Amino acid sequence: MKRLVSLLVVALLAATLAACNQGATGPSGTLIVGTPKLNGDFIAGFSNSSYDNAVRTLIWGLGTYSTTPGGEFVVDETVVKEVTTSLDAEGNKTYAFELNNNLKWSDGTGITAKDYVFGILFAASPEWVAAGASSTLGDSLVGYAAYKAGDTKVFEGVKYIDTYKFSVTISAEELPYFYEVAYASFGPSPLHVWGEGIDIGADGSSLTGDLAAATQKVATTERFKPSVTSGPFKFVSFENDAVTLENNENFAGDYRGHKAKLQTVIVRYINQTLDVDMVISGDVDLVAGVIEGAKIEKAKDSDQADYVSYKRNGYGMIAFANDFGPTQYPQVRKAIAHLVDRNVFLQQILGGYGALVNGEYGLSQWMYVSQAAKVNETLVNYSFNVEEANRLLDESPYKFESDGVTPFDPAKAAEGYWRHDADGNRLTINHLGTVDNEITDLISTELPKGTNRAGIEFTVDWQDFNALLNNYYYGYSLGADRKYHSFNLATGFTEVYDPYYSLHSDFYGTWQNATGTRDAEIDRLTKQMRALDPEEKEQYAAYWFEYQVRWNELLPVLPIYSNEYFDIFNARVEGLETTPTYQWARALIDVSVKE
Amino acid sequence: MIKFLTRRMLSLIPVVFVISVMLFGMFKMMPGDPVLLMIPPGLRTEEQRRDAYDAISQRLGLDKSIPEQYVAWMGNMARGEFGTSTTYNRPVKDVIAQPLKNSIILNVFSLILAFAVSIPVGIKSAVKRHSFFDSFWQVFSLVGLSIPVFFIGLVLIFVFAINLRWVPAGGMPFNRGDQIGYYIAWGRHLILPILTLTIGSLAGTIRYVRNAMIDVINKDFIRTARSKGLSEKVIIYSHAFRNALIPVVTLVAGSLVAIFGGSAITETIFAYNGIGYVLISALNSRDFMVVLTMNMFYAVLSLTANLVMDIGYALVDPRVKLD
Repeated sequence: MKRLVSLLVVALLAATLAACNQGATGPSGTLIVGTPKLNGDFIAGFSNSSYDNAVRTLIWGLGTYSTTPGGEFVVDETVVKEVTTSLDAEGNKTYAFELNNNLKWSDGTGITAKDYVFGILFAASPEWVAAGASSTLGDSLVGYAAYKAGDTKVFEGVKYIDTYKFSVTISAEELPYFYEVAYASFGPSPLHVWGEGIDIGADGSSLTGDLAAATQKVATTERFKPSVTSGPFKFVSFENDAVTLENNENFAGDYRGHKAKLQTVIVRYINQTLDVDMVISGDVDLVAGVIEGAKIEKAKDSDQADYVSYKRNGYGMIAFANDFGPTQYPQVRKAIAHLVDRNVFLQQILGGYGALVNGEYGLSQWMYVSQAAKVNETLVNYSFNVEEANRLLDESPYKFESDGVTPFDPAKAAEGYWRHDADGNRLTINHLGTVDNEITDLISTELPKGTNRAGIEFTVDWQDFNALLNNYYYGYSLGADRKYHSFNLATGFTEVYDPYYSLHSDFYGTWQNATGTRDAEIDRLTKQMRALDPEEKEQYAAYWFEYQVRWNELLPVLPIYSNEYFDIFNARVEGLETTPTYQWARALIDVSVKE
Repeated sequence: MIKFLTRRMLSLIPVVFVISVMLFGMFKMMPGDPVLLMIPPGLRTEEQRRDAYDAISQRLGLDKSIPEQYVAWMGNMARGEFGTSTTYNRPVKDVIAQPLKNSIILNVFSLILAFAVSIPVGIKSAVKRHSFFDSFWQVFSLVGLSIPVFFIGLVLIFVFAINLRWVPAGGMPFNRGDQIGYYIAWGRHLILPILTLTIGSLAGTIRYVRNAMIDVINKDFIRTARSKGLSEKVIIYSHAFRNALIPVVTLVAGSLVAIFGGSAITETIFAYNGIGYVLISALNSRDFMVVLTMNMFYAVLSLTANLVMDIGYALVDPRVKLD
């Protein structure tokens, strides 16, 4: 009897230990992320908050393609069993996907090809626009324009084949394109929830049922509280500026098959002034994208905080109107570049945590990393140099005194002694910045120190960001009301680096080419870069280098600082590895917390 | 009384109309186009952007003439429809409901605390003029009036949240299923903002009550009451304080608007989801409908508070006749 009891006790202990062990490998712990205010749109298409977008990254997933921490596009093999491509006689390229059969929504419903096809047809429909959403999903596919306009119910470029197969056909007009796979990257949308009474039509390229009612329902309910999700986390609530997410046990994994280790993630609004203090005090576990030197030093000094840092793929800049006033001349733009001591910005704004760039690149982009030495040697470094600025300006039309005849004398340069062109027009640069912006404030005090020594009258106006955007993006349409020649703002680069839309003369006189750049060499190179096959990386890098050299000569904008971002976290957080293209919301899948 | 109320309420109609025209006109004259901020990023062509712009403008009614927009706005307001927030792309009433509720909670508690402290302190300071008690509160008032609210808030955060870790440094509590725990968390999150607002308003209120009491204490009827041999307690609380209440009523009625007004600075420091912060953000982002709705609300509230104040005078001062 004693032996039997002993055996039972041992068996019970063994079972308990096994259960404990099983529990230890499952998701656990709560991580609190402090962010600026969220808007509360958890389906894409309504507002532009990057913090809403971070939450969307946490709850939506299972796209056909993913990106690696290095920014490289890869087939998501957790999702796609097989992908094949084919070209038709007109040059349209079809991507046919076969999905794995183990994909599930957070409510346990199986994910099929219908969900992928529905997602494209839903977001590209005119009904989705009527519901107040905006989307460009599928805009590179055959038949997009006619479907979007409501001319036809059939979206030719999308095809449901069977339960686990579907295809998309990229229009020949969009090809070849170096980032082509981005055009074939689609995620699923929950047909069984969003599309009540809706099904894929017999042709496999249209929807049946009341799409208008479905889009309205999604826009007014699911948008704020998604009831099913496909990503690593399930949506629980958004109340009082805090989003609560729970682990999605039905998530098949990211492109590497990794599942989230955390049980709960809370994304909450905090006062950004106190963000690092709150990490140290344990009120929050993680704050991302810290750039202020004092805060970074505080985190470094604390044994309650740790950090991961990366160089920003982008920069703060002074953008010039290349099609208006004195800044239409490259000599004037380059002279201004030599009259700004950019190191002052690095020190005063970033506390030294940043770098200077001389082209349109970020320090973490693979194109730069692979040829950094050559780039640094070749591109002109626009350092503070009054003599060089005066030399450049003497090559511009602004080389006279006010009579338009007497040559401007740099030795006499001082406030009030300005350069003029032959018609007597004064060299005045009207700069526009935003209110409550320390960069604008610094520009207003720093730039005149240099420009006064080169005969440039530099004025600064402060307006709100909306007004700045109006003047910057739509300057070409302002006619006689146009006033500003330069603006300070910031830009960032995504995995798809395609300057065609922002600098090619095809877009001159539109908001896209906001600087009003028109240059044959830039046109050639931006087209050549995008027209390569995705495999031609070396050639792409070569064109990219040529493009940077030309850009550096033209200087359509002047990068004034490139930040180093610090993601600062509490000492109990483990496993956070972020990069410029793989930010905290993506990286959270590998994070755990010590309880 | 009914005649007075009817007359006053009828006289409010043209006032509200004029205010609405002025507000609408002012906001329309402001530079900037809110629709531009609503256009999502990633649109690749000018046509896509134009289509998005037109669709948003049409949906918000911004493609109509300004008089048409005004009439539509007033009509919608009368029906309880306040339009769509351009920042949040959703109905204004959804955007302001929760923050307004949060601000009311915060302000009601801080007002109650402020009056609960300042009225007895003000009375005692007036009665015991030039005593240590009076001097202490006089100095406290001066210091309180001189220190900006944001500084008080930051000091409280650094002492009680960051260093002592007794209370959260800010933000809102989140509901994780445990209702009692949620209410406790609410209380903990409210402590520092309430203290900040109370300290900020205490100084002024104490001086106000004290001065009102001193004025009354020096009146002849108080001397008469004393000569009749009434106890000091009866003189102070039955005779003096009731008369001192008249200016205090003005203060309380004014606070009615403050309850709904939010406290942008305190809410920002504590990342408190209140209406003050929403209003400032809406102004910065040209979210006209939110700003217009809130300003109209405050205008109507101020007019109502004035009416309440007049009624309050009549209740506390028999000399005031409403007719």
